[in-house]
Amino acid sequence: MATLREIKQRIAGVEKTQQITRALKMVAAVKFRKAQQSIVQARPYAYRLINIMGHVAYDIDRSLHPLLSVREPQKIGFVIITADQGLCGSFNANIIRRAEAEIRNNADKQVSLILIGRKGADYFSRRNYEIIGKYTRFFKDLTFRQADEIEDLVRELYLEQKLDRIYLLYNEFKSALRQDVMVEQLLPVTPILPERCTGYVEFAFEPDAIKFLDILIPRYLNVAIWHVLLESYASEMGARMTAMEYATENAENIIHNLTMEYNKLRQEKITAEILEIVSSGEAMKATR
Amino acid sequence: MFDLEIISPLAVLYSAKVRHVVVPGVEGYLGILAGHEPFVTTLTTGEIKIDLDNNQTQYFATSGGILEVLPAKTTILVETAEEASKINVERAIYAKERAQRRLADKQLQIDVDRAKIALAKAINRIKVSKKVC
Repeated sequence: MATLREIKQRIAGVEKTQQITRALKMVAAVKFRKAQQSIVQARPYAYRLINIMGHVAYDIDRSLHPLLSVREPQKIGFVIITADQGLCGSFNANIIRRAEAEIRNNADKQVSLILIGRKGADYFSRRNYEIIGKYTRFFKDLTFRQADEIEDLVRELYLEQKLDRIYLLYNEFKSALRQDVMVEQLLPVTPILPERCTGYVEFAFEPDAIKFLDILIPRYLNVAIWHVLLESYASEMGARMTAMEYATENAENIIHNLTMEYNKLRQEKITAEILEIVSSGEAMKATR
Repeated sequence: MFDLEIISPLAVLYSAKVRHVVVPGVEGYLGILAGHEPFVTTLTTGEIKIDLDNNQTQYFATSGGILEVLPAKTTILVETAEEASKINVERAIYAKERAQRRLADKQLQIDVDRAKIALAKAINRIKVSKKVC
């Protein structure tokens, strides 16, 4: 049986923890809103770029451009995006589980990993995987330049034929309560071809289509990676918000139960004391 | 008059009805007026000059991008662009000096192309920043 002092100490401890989880939740909420805003702001550029690329790629033979042409996939690269920190529910575990499943499915091929985020980097580094790129402490001050850096790496790996196909694995943001793990092919690029039936206007290009794609595709990849980084970041913050909300609630319950226990114990003690006084009074009366 | 938008990967930087815009095409500066034929081209480092209806002119420094002219709207997709009055001149001067130092030092193992691009961007920013009206 715990003493009154012990229970009081435990209540104080849980209250401290609750303060921390509450603070973490609020920080996550601010960052979450910022990430969401960045996603919305990145949209117009991405839409225009995808549209232009579709128009330019429409009439050309895809094998003419190295970043569009499809090779027999023997060497596969997975870009796996996790968070730098935990305390965000099953966010990291979901990605890692899915990544391992994807790697198993491609056991007959040569698989290499590019790891973004400390959690994934830690996990896969401790195991026997081929790792070509590792980026930790990545999300603290996320900038567009970081998307550029990853783009440079994957594009070169693809052009040098060190990888034949590159996938992105990340948490897509659905809501604060829900993130879906997505697997998306990054390279070779599959342009979304526009429909040409309604309101189509013929473009004039300058320079020619292939040279144009040389400039368009790296930018497209850049934006695609940037988008995925933001999606993952927003998901992470959403997951953390929810996890910390639960933790705060849970702490509240524990505090409630402990307080009940504390009061009960105190009452029992008082009752016992009164009984003692009364019975000793009675005893004194009897001896008189 | 036609609609013009300047968009970077981070945000829509500019959106207005304009009379005339001049952009730094790869093959030289080119001007767009209302009713231009649909057209797409790439842009290089240089200045974007926008003439508004009330004889006002605005200048942006850009590091390059893509121009898309459609009947409904003209869009400039830029990597970066800053309005002349918002250019951080001190930073541009610092970047220019740094690039020059790196290019002058023959001992240093540097990416020459990258330094040259940085230099061109910095010089362009300094040039455009002087066009504040």
